[in-house]
Amino acid sequence: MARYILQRLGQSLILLWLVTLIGFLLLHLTPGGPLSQFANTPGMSDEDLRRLAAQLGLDRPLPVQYLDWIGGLLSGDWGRSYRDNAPVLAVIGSRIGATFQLMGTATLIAVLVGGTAGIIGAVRRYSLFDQMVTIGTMIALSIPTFWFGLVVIYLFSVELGWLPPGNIGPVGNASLLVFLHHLIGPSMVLGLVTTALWSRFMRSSMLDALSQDYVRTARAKGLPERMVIGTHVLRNALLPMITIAGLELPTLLGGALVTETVFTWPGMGRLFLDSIEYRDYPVVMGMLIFAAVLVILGSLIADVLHTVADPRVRLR
Amino acid sequence: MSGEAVTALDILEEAPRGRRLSPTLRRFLRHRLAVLGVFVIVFLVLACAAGPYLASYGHLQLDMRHRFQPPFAGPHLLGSDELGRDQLARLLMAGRISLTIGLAAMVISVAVGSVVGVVAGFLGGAVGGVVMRLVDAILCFPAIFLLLTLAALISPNIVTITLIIALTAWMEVARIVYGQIRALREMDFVAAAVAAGSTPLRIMFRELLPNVTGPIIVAATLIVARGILLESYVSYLGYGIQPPVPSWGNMLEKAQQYLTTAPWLAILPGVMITLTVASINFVGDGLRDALDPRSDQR
Repeated sequence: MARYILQRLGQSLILLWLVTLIGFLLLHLTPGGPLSQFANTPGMSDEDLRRLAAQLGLDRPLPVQYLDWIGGLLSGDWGRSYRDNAPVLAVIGSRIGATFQLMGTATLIAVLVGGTAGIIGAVRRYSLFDQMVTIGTMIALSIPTFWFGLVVIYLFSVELGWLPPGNIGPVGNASLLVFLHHLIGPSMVLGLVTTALWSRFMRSSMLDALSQDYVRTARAKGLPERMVIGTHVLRNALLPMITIAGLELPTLLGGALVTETVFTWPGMGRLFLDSIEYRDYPVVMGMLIFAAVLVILGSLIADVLHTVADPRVRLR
Repeated sequence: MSGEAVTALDILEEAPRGRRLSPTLRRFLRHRLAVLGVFVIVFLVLACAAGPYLASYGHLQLDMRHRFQPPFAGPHLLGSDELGRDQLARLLMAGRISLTIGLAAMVISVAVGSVVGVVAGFLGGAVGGVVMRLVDAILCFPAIFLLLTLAALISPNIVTITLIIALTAWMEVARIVYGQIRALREMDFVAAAVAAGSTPLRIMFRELLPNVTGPIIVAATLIVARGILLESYVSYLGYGIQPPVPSWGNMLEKAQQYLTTAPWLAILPGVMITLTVASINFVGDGLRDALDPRSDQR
């Protein structure tokens, strides 16, 4: 197992390196590059541009810039924001909590609602409930997240007045209840897609487990169906879901970006959009890399946990 | 899925002999929702193509006397926006843009993904490995992050938005094709083709690629749906199709600020997106079963 984990770790490191390379090239090879926002500023001569490029080290050959930048990444110096000169890592760090709270709540909803729906759907395959869930899942995956957010705000804030239309709470009021009240809307919206995905994967994972020989054995020896499903099938069907949780991270992060925008939730997604608007490339770049690192880490952890939890994976 | 209702399948099976349906078509028609999806898409495409010519208002025509008119309450059938522009005309025109972008992005990403997948799968070894690691690496970036970064760097118009959506969608095709080609190239007919003196190019694109058509068609369908969704995301956030050109996404951009006074401006474009994307997804689901001969045994 140690060998598998080491191998997986090596793959992740290569992936990380490729991610930094792609991110770097993306920003430096597009027309304009990192200074494109100054090029159109009135009163900015070519001479000024050149001086600025020299000051920021942008006039050096690309490989040198890349090595310099990646050295900074490794030593924790991710550059400084163009906007307020704060270190990029600190800027990201200040926003990460809000995003994780949102993503965590959404995942909790997904596991509870989606997981249960998937389990019932698989046990009662082709029943009316199963068909409804399958169709509902497909429709949920087709709804644009931001539009669902608008619908939720319209229904629950404008019409019914039950939920606040956005933000994390009034300034200075840090009570937990107020925070939770503000959390309901966005986590419902972000939870929609994740719930749909969880119900779909849970269903197929359950169906997979149900068709195994040990299920037939358990039934043959006269175990009540409740025990067969509850202990034998469910426990085995839950194992692959660890990997799914890791694989869903990009979707979850992308969804968080959109949800935060609609609900003006002060998380990483909001930061990303603001930085793009200000052409704050060090932050944009840092966020891109940060998101990719999260995704790589997520899938690595999920794979390792899966290997630890399921002895059958180790033999493959 | 056998109900008591008469399905399209029952009617078609009564067709005279000698005009038997192909097994693929038969399997597809068994999916009632997929068939429904086809009808919805055909209807939408026709409406968007012909609608703007038939509508009584142009999509840019201002009507200051009927601003914020609710649907079914005046001359504008589906209501009007803050400038009195006809919502129906705008929805149909926006549909053209959104559907075109979805389709065009699909064509580009399928072409790029197939070529990359076939070449990497056929060459295999170090070259194939490196190419597929690059694909893995690009997939690590959440699509919306990548899309927004690119959209902010370029000047957004229909062509560039299509290109960057394709740029974030070809990797999945490449992955699917690569996996299939790796399995196929070990088969005897490839060895036979090599023995017959076929060039690598011919083997890749005439012998191997046609065998992967099924999975590619399914992936292509899903990419159209995803392309329409992604376009709406970028346009909603203000980096996609720029007004006054309407798209279903940018029609929603202003809708949030009129949510209390004119909710129909926020509801209708979203319904159009959901209807279109869901229909395409159902068709994709039906195609997946139809193109997989093993699904008959289930």
